[in-house]
Amino acid sequence: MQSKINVRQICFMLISTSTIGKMIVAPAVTARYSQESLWISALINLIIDGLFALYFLYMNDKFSNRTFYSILESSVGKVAAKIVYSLFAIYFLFRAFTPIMEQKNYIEIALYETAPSVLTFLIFFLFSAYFCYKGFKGIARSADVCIWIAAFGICVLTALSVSLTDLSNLLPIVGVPLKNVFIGAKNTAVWYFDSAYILIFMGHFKSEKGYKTKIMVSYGIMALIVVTYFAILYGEFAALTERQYFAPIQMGKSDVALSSIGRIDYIPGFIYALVCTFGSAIPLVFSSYCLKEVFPFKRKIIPPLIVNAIAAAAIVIAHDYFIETFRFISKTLVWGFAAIVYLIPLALIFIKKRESV
Amino acid sequence: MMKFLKTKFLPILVGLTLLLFLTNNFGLIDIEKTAIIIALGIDKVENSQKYEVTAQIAVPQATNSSKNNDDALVSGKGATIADAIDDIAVTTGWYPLLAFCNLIVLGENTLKTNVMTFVDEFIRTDKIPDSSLLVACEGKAQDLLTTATPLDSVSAFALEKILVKDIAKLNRISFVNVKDFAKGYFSKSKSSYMPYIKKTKVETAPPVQEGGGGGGGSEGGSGDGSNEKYVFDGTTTLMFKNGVNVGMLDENQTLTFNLRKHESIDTFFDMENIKIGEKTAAATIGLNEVKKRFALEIKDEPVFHIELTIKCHVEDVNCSEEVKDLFTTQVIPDEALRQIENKIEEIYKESFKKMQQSDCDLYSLTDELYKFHYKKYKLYKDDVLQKTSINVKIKCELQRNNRT
Repeated sequence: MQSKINVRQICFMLISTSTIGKMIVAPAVTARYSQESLWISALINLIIDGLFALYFLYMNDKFSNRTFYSILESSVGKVAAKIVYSLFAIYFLFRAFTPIMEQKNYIEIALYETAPSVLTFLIFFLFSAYFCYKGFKGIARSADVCIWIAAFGICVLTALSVSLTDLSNLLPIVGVPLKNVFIGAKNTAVWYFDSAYILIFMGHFKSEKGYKTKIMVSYGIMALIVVTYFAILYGEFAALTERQYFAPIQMGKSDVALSSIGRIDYIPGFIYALVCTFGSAIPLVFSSYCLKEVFPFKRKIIPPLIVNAIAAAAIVIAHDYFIETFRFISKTLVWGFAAIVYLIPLALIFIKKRESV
Repeated sequence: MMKFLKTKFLPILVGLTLLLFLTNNFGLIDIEKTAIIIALGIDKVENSQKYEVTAQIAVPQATNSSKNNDDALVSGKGATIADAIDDIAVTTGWYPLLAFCNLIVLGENTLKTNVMTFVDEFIRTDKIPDSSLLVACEGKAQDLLTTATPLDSVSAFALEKILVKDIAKLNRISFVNVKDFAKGYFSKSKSSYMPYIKKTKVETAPPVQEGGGGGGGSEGGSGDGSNEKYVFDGTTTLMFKNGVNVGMLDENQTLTFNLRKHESIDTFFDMENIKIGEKTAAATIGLNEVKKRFALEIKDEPVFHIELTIKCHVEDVNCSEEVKDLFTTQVIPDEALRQIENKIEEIYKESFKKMQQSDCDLYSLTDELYKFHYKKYKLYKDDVLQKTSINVKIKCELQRNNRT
């Protein structure tokens, strides 16, 4: 049994890796559907996911800090629990595809002058396999580090962009057709579902006084940063926002301050790349964990190797079809994501707790 | 041994390989094979649909002052901008690095059609920053880049200085970058602008011949080998509707247009005949904005309100005065202030009329309509500029605390 992680580290993970993971491609895709109402689409997703996060925290209280697997095992039996965890393992694998592809393209656009071979990116999976091997402790430690550099990067980028931002670009707010806002929310929902982390973290963190408030406040901070960032980006780029696929390396570049103080806009660009390296590997950690629960492998390294080998193969095969794959995930598979992350745990409300198992 | 591998060797190996990936050590191009492009000039090839792209390349400063400016220029031709840049790479063997390209000059013959057919390449690609300044020029862009100027050994740097450096606050130049130009083009107003650069010949001292001759040429270089040097004037502004040049704002119209977007500090405004005291003479008035409001209001009909409150001081008067009057805090009589107000008001009305005639919505009234009067957007979206009347209220006040 691994030692438990701290509530503080979950909070830091939400504010650092989860926040920055929504800042690379998500704003541009949201703007494509929702235009100036992109921040409302983001807010809708954050509110829905936030409510589920709150529900999972109450579940944690109700089931006395037991793991989700243990709750399932005692409620619906071992086989059903294994099926559910298999679904979660698959969900996290698919969930990882978008951030990993984002990370690959972001690094190549930001740092590479010429397009490198896809094989170059496979190094990422060496890191990722090690990260998965370290498990939740690895996520916790990386959160302790990422929070400070992420905060610095967000502050620098915001400071550079604010002077270029015209918030009137976000108008009108009322009167516009809501259809586009909801389509934007639905087609970008794949970037959210952070409550799934809290669900799997159940029973793996040290329960302390006021932990629900602390985690939900962190979730609120993440939501606030994301919505503000979306608003600033649209304020700066207006109709061009949907073209800003890698926003951190586009924002703030035309700030006149850069001509005298130098290209400090590269600093947040690099910071985002670093934080996303951890952020994009996190779903694979969860996938490895779920796989380990389903199949109790003798050697701890096996699940990380399987998960990363599958992810690497998927990237090699699908990297030329990223748009098509992403479209399939965001428009079709997203319903499956919602069913696994939201509906299955929600069903637990109706399942009588079996104390005797 | 296994413990060492797990706890020390593996993390170090992972860290090192990740470092290689994140620092692009797999994708470096030798510096000697790279051309760092600092400016691009775009011209249309005569009687052809092709473009000629001229790249100004950063080269280390030669110790020999005879190094010519045009040595650092290469050009390529192609059906698209990317094709022309590729042509440069193919014919020179250099890899064109565009990350430091801060200036794009459009030649006069490119302005006859929609410029976004080729400017959009700079939005499409991430190889060039969309913060690059965009200007149009008299004649060929290639000629502008080969122009020798006493301001800098590289004409592109001289132009950049003129466009955005310290004097930008004077509001004389409507500088714009690729991003802002494209934002205007893709906005509801579909209108944009860019400065129009004209060369002005200047007389300079003849070059000093070192070492008894040899190595001719001039300091700063000259494209055509002569000693002619030029400075650049960008105080006029080209108006674009749907990417096509539809007109030009003159110097005063450019200045008043800039007052909307930029804060006006120490902006100079010329009055030809102003009555100060008992004298009537030409004067240069310093303007500092106090309050401004540019807003579209719709009651019965759309009205564009321009309300400006400006503090004025005398910068210079073209007549001899008593020593007691030689201060910038010199009192400007109310009558003279009204004269200034009337002149600025007249300029605003003229420029607005010009915009209406050319259907170029530089004040973004269609965007204002969409943002602030959404319910009436459908009603006016096609002709808001034509249906809008202008209401200009300029209030000039005496600036008493100006530095002397």
